[in-house]
Amino acid sequence: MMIPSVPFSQARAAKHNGRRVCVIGGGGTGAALAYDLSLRGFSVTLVEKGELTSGTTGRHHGQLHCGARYALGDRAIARECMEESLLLRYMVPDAIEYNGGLFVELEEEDRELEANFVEACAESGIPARIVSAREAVALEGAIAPSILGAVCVPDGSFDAFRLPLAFFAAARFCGAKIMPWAEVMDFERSGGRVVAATVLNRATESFSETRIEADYFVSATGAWAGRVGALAGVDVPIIPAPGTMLAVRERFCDRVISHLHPAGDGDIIVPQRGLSIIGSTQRVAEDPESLLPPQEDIAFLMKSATAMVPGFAAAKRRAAWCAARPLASASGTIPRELLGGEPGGEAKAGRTISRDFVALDHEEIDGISGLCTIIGGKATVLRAMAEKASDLVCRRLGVDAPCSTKDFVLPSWRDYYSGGSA
Amino acid sequence: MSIVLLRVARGLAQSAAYSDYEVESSEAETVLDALELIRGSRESGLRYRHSCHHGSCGTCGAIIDGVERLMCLTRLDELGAGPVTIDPLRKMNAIGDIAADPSPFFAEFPRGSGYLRSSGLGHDGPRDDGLPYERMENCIECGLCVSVCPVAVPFSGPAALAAADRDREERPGRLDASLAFAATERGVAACERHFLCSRVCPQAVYPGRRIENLRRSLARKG
Repeated sequence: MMIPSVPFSQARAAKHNGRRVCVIGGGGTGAALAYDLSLRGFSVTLVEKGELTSGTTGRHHGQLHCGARYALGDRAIARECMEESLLLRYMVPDAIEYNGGLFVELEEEDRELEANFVEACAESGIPARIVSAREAVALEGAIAPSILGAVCVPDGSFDAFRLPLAFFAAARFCGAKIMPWAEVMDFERSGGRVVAATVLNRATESFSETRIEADYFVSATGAWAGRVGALAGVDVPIIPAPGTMLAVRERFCDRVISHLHPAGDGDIIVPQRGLSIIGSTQRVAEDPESLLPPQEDIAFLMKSATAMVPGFAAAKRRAAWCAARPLASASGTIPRELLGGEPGGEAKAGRTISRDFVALDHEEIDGISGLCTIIGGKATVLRAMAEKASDLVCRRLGVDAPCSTKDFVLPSWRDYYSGGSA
Repeated sequence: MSIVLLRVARGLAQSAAYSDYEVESSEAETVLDALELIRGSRESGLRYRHSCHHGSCGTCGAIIDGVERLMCLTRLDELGAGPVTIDPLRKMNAIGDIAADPSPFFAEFPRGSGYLRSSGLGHDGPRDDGLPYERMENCIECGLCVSVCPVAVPFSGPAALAAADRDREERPGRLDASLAFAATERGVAACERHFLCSRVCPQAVYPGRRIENLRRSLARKG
């Protein structure tokens, strides 16, 4: 694999190709997409209804996934995580604590998974190393001495705000117009094609409406994709799936600690600065706004964390919060069996869906051109998602421009605000 | 069940208009949670910055009852029945309501200042790749220290100088650049030692102490 090594000061966006793309959604996916498209020579405007990363992106627990978590289920996704986590480490080095991860075995059935898990990692290009319980406790003294065994993998932690902000800084240096506080209120269609968006701009003293014309629109709105799709008259089968996370004021480990079992609730502890974060639960909701963490989810997370790291129970609580992930639903409605339920219980059904990302081409699906929706995927693979989505935009607009986001080390997130030269 | 009255600045900061909202303290744990409920149910256009909801991103600083704090870490039950006033941070570019653009704050940081350091947890040896265990710095660049600082002359500010002092201490390659940064007119000379920065810092960075470190280093250098 080529390591991104060219400083951003030497990055040159391709010659402007005269095509305009409007990206909707200022999360990690939108950030990487605005950067990728700008590098390829598109004229990009990104609109976000609030502050950048204020939806789901910033509330991520920050695990940089090497893919081990997904290896048993889907080797292709696992391999992509491994490649992308390495790329990010070089692209945004200051926003990543790259200390590795430990999958711990708490019960006999976890132990039985070990061989298959390590084999699946190997088949996905992930270096995984079996260590004894004793070795694991020597590596990370805070983990429960009662564990039966463990596997070392190359996970890490990232800053869920600063990493995407570095992409925004890069996008802006390449000429993208980034508009936070600007909400799409309506789309204008002409002859079966989306041609413009009406945007309410709240960054001005008296809110103003702006009309943004573009040759192509990409909705990168995650759990809000159903609402944005409805404005354009397309049905996007997405429902919000809120997950609760809990942070305590103590850093127990340098490695990410995961429970070696089929992915479930409350099975990951991510260290970050002086904190440890346990995530997460998963429920479903009608509305992605105003989500607050249910008390029973917090109690469940505390119990799960303590099973892996006993010190968690006595640590001082920092914060509990909720993030709305997008959950694909064939009908676009909430399956009845997913409503309610206990953490770790029924809502788990939502975890069986693919963690891969999908670009819904509304020209193919709904006969409405000029618009696609990108959904799914994981924070770790934001660059790869943006590459695939940009490829689709290139195909639809007949532009031949290769992706070059793998080449460059990104500017500092501080540059997004300070506007300094790269 | 108790009710908290929040008095939230609206429009541009200078206009000093407020809107009052009542929130059930049982429904919202923190001031940020309360604003999320207000925006979701009553005031869809309410502007405030937020991202991580656990005091890592540094976006949700505000002046709560006259004191600079992070909204996501300020519990409603500490505040009483109110009215609790919420104002935007000072010395930023006003966007509207509680939201303030931190561009002037970030513009003061030393170019190329580092952000990763040794993790500080005890381990027997290095990590698998042979490198030392690492973590990000404590400073979350929230700007509370700059907002509270009474210094009225051009000043790099507590956060930027604290970053320079960390560079001086932890990154030998940046020693000279850090001292040069501290030695300008906007540097340590402008600090009047109010130490309010250290008092409001939610991350125990103690910028005031960092500025004193820089002063001593400059004095030793002669």
